[in-house]
Amino acid sequence: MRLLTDLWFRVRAALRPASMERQLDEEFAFHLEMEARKLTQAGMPPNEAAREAERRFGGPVRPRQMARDSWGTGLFRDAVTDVRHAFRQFRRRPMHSALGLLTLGLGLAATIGLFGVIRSLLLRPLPILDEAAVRVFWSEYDWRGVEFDFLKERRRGFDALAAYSSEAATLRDDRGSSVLLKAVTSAEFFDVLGTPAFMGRTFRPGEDRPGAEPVVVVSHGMWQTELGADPGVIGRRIALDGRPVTVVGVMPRGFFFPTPEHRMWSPLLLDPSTDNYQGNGWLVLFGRVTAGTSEEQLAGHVAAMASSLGERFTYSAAWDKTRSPAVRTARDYLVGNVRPVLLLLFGAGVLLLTMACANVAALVLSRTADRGQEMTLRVSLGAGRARLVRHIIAESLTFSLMAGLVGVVIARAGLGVLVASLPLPDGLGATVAMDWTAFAVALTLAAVLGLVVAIAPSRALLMGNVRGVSGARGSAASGGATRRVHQSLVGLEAALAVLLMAGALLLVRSVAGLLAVDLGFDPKHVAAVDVSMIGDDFTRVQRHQLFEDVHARVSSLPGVISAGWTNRLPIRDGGWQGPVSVDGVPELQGAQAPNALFRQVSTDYLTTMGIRVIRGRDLEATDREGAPRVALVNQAFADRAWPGLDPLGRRLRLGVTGDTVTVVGVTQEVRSSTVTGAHPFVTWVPDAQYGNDYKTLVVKSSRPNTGLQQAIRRITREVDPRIAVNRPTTMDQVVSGALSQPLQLRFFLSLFGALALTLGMVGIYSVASYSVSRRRAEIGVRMALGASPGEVLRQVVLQAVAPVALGTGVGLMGAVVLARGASQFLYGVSAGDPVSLGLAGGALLVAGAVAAMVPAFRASRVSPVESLGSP
Amino acid sequence: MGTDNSLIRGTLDMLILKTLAAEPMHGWGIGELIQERSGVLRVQQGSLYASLHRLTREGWIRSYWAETENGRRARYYALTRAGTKQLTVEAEHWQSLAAGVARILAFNP
Repeated sequence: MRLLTDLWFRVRAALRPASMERQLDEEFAFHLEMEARKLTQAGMPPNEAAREAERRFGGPVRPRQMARDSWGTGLFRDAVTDVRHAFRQFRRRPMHSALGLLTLGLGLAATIGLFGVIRSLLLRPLPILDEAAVRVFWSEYDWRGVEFDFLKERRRGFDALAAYSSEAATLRDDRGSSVLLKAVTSAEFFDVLGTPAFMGRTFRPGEDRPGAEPVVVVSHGMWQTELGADPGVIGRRIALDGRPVTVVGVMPRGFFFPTPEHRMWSPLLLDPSTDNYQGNGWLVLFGRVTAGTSEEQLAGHVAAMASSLGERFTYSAAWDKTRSPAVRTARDYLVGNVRPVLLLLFGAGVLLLTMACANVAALVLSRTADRGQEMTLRVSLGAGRARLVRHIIAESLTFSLMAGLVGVVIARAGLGVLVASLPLPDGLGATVAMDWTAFAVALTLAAVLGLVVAIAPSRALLMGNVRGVSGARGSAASGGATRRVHQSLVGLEAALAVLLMAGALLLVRSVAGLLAVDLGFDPKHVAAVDVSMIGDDFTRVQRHQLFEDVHARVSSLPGVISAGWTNRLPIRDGGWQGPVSVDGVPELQGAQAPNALFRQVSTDYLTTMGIRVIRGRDLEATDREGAPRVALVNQAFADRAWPGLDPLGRRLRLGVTGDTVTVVGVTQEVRSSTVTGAHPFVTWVPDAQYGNDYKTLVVKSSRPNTGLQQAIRRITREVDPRIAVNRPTTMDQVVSGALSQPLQLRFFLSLFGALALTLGMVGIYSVASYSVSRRRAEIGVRMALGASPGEVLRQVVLQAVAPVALGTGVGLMGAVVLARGASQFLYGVSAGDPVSLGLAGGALLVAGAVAAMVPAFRASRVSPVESLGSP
Repeated sequence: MGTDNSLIRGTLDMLILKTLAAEPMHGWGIGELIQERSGVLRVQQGSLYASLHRLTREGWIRSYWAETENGRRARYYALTRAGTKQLTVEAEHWQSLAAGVARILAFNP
């Protein structure tokens, strides 16, 4: 209590010094007046009485000083003085200070920005119960319904298993049609995740079996927007894919699985009589591990389940699920692929921050040493050493806290760019936010760094060797400690700069390789949009006609060269493949049948995308329903199936449809699913021979066409209001989206590398110029004794570059080791790429020499007479 | 000069507290009352205010501005509850000290 009163008094006194002084004035004036009145009453003349009162009081200065000292604000007043002093120092060398602030700020921004993202994505609990118990099975989106039911009965180590897949669904209401992403799930889905509904209920057992009433559970966001936050939404019927479906539950805010883009969950139909059940895999399997199961036991159970699969089902070599069974944690499944990127960037940020600290430490050290005479003077005038250390700490803290603020501002501005550059599942980026903890961390970190940076000069002071810190012209021996610290700092900076630059150069070369990849199609001025006619209220004939109408009207838009349909867009949409048995080639049949992508395209598709047909013919209008089934294959497939032979006229059996088709043409290689990697086999079939309800329209224009998407939307609405469009994009966006991770990594690492180089140069320059300014006298003597300016120049540069060379060597070794761990980010260059490493090392040595050149030149101009004349 | 009538270090605090125990008073008045009541003690006027402000900081007295009988604005000081307790402690301490000194002076071998 007393402590609080005391503190309160001090704080008030410190914060309102003017008011305290005013009250003191008035109090003293009253006292003197009363004393003088007493004296006049005793018979003293008034002016003499006033003088006597003043004398008795102790004069005008001392009582006032004593009263002030009793306020307990001394420490605070000193701190204010020190901070003011610090600001004056910054203003004296504005460029130097600004650079220091900016670098320290950037280092801090990188660190706290990434810390915020890491906290949001890797540390914050997922919206599921006991997330470590939820494990996702291997072979994602590759399980069949029959396999799921088989494993469900044989599960060991799991309380429950569930399956889901993703689908686009068309929601129709008064405002029109919209396409939303939906998860179709087995009835156990929410049991495994352990999340109860916010309103209503989740699924009941059996709701995923034939004959069940169609129901849907919606996300909190969908309830709030699409369903108008209707409080009576439970039991309401909505039109999904042209069918009435009953809403039975709303999930709590913040719940998502597998991504925040999934707006609803509906039971997946597990009907043993359907192709979906028996046919190709399309499900993700996951389960809740029984409490108390160890990782070893779990691995054993998983292996046992896999081998039981092998006993029941026959797998082709390409699809063998028994080969590498493994389960991943839910978090690893959801955000696992961002972890390495985050850690890489975080590491780079920390390196940059360390460099910035080393730089500031060198700066503060030189400045303290330069002010040695001032310090000596102040010590001899009676200033305590503790007071001087407080002075150094105040200066360093002021600087680092300002840098902390700069860092917070930069981090806030840069967070969006950073999040956009991460390979996150759709919508997950929106969950990343920087909250007050990040700011608290930034300022705490800044304060800690400020104290750390103050250690070296403070130590020199406290060791009692004020001359060691002092003596701008002092003996060489007394500056030895300072020089050693300086050289270590320069060496450290060089090592870190080389590391960062080597990383940046590796990424630059890797991205150059990626950009040079031949895509096999021409993305220029090609727009794409999904067109959906999902729903039982369309007949197959109707759909066919409506797609034709949309195509015809879009094709005749001004500026449009051609338009075509596909079921999957290259690079953006992977998947949908099946075994293809090659007629007449027994080793490519049955279990050995190669897998090939199944692409249904219209007659204009290949032309629109700029995919060349290198043998045979393109699809034609005559390849319509009822006509003989035909297909084109890609070059890689033709080479594998009929090496050296004519592929035209050969026959294939497509596993996806069960059809036998005749090969009529061969296309060039196309980057169908990824930008890098081997070319997968592709089969192109005419989509007119199949009744699709969901297609992607690609449109080639003669020039960039910004109004195109609106025009397409208008056309579909006019053709039939039941048609929904989705995912408007351009092929350029698709390609840069696929390359966004390396592109953004290149951006960040290049930025960090450039900053590191700049920081390194600043560090080398400031240390070299400090050393030259200290050694003016010595240099003068040597020149008086006959040393030439050239020799002095060379010697100063060599001396400055020596620790840089050492640091560079260490940094290069570190780069080789670290880059190997980061080789997953590289394309077309090895981790030990000599060009990148050589360039980084060379650049730093040259930069170091250049930075040392200016002070060296100054040294070579020292006049022997002038320097000898100085004390 | 003869006998030094200045205060023993530390006793001024106790005397201020004691003076204020009767009624709130301004700084000049406190000094006058101590001199008048003791008959012998002289208060260093200048150091009085440092003591008053320190006691305020300790929370034993509090200050407020009020008018004197002559209609002049002055800073008054008043004893707080913590100050009352502190006065008891210091007075007991002083009594036992004084008694000890008295016993030594009264000792005749």
